[in-house]
Amino acid sequence: MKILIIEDQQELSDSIRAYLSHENFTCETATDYYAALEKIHLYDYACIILDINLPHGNGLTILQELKSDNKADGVLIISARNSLDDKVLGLNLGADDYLTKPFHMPELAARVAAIIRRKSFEGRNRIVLDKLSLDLQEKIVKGANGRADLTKKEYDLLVYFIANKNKVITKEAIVEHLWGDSIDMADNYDFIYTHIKNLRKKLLQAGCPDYIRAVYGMGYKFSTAEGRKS
Amino acid sequence: MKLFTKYTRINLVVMVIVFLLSAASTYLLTNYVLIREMDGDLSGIHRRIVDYYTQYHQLPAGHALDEEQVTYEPVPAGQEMKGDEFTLVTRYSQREQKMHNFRQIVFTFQAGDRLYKVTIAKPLEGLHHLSRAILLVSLATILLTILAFLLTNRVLLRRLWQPFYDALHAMQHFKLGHTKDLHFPTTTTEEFAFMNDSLGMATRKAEEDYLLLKEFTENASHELQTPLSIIRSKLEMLIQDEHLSHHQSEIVRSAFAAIKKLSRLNQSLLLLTKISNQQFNNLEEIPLKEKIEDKLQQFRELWQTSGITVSSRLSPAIVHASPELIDILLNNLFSNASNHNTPHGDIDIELQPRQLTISNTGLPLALDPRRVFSRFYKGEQHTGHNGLGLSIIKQICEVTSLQPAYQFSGNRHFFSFSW
Repeated sequence: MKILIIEDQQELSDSIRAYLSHENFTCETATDYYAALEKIHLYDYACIILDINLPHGNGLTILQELKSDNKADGVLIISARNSLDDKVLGLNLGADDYLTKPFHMPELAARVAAIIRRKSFEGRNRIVLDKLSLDLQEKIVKGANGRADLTKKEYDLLVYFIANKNKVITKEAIVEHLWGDSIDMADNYDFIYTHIKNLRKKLLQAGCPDYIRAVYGMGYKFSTAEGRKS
Repeated sequence: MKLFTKYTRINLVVMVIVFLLSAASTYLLTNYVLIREMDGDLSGIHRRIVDYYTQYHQLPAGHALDEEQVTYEPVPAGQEMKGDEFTLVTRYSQREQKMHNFRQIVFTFQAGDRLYKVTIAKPLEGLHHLSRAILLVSLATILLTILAFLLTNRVLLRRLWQPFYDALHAMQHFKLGHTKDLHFPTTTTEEFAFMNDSLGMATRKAEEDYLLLKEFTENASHELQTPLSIIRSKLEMLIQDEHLSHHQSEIVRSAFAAIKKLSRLNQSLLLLTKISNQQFNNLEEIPLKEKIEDKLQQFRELWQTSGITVSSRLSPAIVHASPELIDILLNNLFSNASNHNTPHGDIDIELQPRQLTISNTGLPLALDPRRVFSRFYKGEQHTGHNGLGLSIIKQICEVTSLQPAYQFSGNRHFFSFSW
């Protein structure tokens, strides 16, 4: 599956590419308006990560171009302008999601994964990973021993982990994903520990190996057995 | 005191004094002139008596019909007077049958071998009437002038000063960021036209500076977003490295924390500009009770972990505001109440139909009520926070016409909002 990163800041573009590239995804990049137009006309992408402020043009025009070509590419807008109008405008023009800079990489990965799932598995929304199977429509999680009864937060957390498989995720990114960034909490993220602990316990009970590992001082990492070997 | 009142008051006092002085001097002057005149008449009679004697060698008899009363009194020789002696006397008037003021002349006159002391008295009736007339005329003039003055002030001055009051009114409604609504009326009065020009220039300059500053904050914040994104993404790439030592992890964690603070500060500044730019103008009737209940649900876990107990008494309340701003307001209030709490402290939330009060236990030190809502004010240097939370709250209050208040009592910090 191909992802196109349209972002004029080379540094950021490189990071996104490095973070998202793994066995399933290949990433291409475009750093200005014309390069981006050329790419979207030539190829189809599972998801396009689109910055609004580009040299020689506006990202929203690319979005319009895409829609007038009747392309089904998913679009995630990333913008420095956290303005409601931009957001509404982008979504009205047919973007699938909107993320404000500065964002956490795991958050970007989770949003991209969600867009791709929506676009590629219309209706049949399932994730199967090792011994784990998720029905995204019904929000049901099953392990080898049957169903794991997760709370909403635990479920969200699991989907987030799966989208960032084999990646170290900071507690901060997890907090922002689950509670949003509007809650200004002290630098104490202890309260996510309970959720992680419960999720691990429930997955173990459902017959899954312990996928979640604490990374010292940093956060957590979700990996399946084969992921760990590689 | 109003300018008019002040002006009128001073003018009235001055006017009354000037009128009284002029009335007095008119009276004295007229009096002096008339007495001189009368003295002239009396001297004339003196001369006529002398002429009469020279012609007829006898003293003229006082005519009963004349108003002058002439008396001759023989005096022994050697008592001659040097000249005429004028005096004011009160004596009986034959004609009016009562005591009256007279001007009299006394002189000695040598008639043959006999010396006479002659007294001629003339009644001062005219003067009496005159002084009364002057008094009346003066009083009438004072009253009339004051009346005319007041009327003129009311009508003319008010009209003359109208441009000034219009300008004053315009300035009263002057608000940075809304100078388009500021109109100074055109006037032909040079001073007011000058004043309006100066005011217009000053407000335009203030507006320009304000816009520049706002633009700067906005641009700076936007420009900061990209490098912040890059740093954060690089750090997130860095921690994917399996071989990071504990020491290195520690370093990266501090860097993450600093980035978080920086991006939060940036977001807060952007939010402040957006609020003051009136970018949140989608006003709705918001059921505050339900909003708060949702928010309580969101914060519950956070409070449970920090051991904070929360009590609330909520009655239905409606506030007319932007839903996003109310959300931010509640987030900031609840976050503040949690972040600045004591371990195992408590938070109390009370919602009345037109007032929301949130109180929490905290450091037993009142915040400075005058500065508590200003930017970057930190009560006791809580380094984890940027000091913009309350200033955002204040800005939200300004655009949604809520009245914020802060109070410290019984070791609790109270923040209340009424509308």
